[in-house]
Amino acid sequence: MTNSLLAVAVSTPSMALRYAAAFFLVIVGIGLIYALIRLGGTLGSAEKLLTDVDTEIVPLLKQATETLDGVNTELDKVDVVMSSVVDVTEKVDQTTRVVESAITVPAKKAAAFGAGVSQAVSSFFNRGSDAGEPVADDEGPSSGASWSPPAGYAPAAAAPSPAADEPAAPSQATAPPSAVTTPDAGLPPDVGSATDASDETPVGGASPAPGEVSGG
Amino acid sequence: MKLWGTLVFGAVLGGASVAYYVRERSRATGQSYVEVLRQLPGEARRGYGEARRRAQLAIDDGLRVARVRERQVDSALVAAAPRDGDPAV
Repeated sequence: MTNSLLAVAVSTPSMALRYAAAFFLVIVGIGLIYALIRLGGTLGSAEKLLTDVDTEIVPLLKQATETLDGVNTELDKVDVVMSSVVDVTEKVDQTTRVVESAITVPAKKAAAFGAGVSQAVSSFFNRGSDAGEPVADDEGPSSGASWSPPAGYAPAAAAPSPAADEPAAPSQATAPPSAVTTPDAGLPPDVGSATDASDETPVGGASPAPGEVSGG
Repeated sequence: MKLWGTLVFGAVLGGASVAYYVRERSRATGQSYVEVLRQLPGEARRGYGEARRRAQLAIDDGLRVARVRERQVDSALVAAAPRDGDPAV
């Protein structure tokens, strides 16, 4: 009897612990079952989502691939067009340069030729008027002004005259102040204003050389 | 026939010109027509030489002015050329 009581007394906490453990296990089992049920639902949703993605995204990717192929084709065409545009631009540039050179060079020569002929004619007839009677001042910018040869000028055909190399002698007739001018007197204003200093001729020497014979 | 016509016309024109020159020269100098005619070759040679001299000087002057003008046009073209950074027209 004592032994049985002792056994009951000793085993009472153990039984309580066993019941508690059983209750705990039952609770944990119920929780696990609930979690597994929720996990199964979630996995079902994920499977459905993956199925939808598989059925919808793949065609979209195919369409995107086709679109990119088309874009690449168009870009290739644009590249060809751009190459043509570059070629055309280069040709236009070359043509512009050729036209520019073809226009500017003759224009420059024509301007120089016109100025030279004008000055030559003016010098020719003014030199004639030097030897003869004076020319009225109202005939133009270069008329009525005697011409003096440029500095350092030595006529090749004519004999060397002292007037070309030396300043005018006091005995020689000097031109009046109104008749004294520079070789640029017959030029347009822009021509005369931009003449270099080296081209300037000292004022004076308006009368012809003593050895020269006046015309007429 | 056409050549002869041209020659006759030229001869008439030249003769008239010489006659006019002789008359005017005689009036201006008081010399007789014969003296003016006798001086005519010398006057012609002098006039030819003077014209050559004046033409040579005029050509040199014209060449100098033409070079100046060409330099000016060159400068104007260089100044008018677009530089880097200028806005495109």
